[in-house]
Amino acid sequence: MGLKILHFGHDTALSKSLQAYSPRTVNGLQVFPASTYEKFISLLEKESFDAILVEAFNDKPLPENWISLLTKKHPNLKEPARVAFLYIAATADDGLLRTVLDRGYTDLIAPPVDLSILLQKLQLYMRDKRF
Amino acid sequence: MDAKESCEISISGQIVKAAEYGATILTDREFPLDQVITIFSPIVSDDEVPKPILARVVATAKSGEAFLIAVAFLGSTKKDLTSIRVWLRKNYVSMSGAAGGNPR
Repeated sequence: MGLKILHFGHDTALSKSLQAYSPRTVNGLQVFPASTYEKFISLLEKESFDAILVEAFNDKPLPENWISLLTKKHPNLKEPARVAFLYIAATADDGLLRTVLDRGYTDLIAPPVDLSILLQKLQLYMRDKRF
Repeated sequence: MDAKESCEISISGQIVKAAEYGATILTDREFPLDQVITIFSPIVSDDEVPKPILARVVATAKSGEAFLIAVAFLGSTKKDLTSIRVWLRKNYVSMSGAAGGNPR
């Protein structure tokens, strides 16, 4: 089964790139783009994801502790099925990285996003999952 | 006198595998999964000065009396990735040469 990724971004560029990368992975990728808060929440309610990518602009309206709230509401998001929460920022620095880690994100990714590195990191974060 | 102040304690380890996205480190201490640690190593440097990089522990295994810990580098910038690639290329070439391989 392929890796399911939810991408909350103001445009679909990263979603399209990830979907285009799918044939190069063992089991494929399913990318679900969301550009509005409503769609993001609706997809979170309907589907279960392996990775959730949130762009900085789209993170702004979310509560500061939304990851903690989400994992409390859906305990299955924790072990053994781990979900990686990635924050996509225009620039990365140590202060921002520490802030997003404190908020429960797994990692911070700064453009240009290297899809090969991104997917290898996701594999590490999900440990036993293969894709 | 008694005191109450935070501090950072560093321990040494040896990077035994390296990639753009992370590394495997041999150390005498076990780290819990998901722990975020700071690594100081020439693998990520800023103008040849080692730059601290945050990393998340993603796997651990016992290796004799020591431990192997796999880490993923966090928040790597384009500059960090360039530094890692330069280090990998330099060390791949030097290790190939040391093993008697043909550097061509």
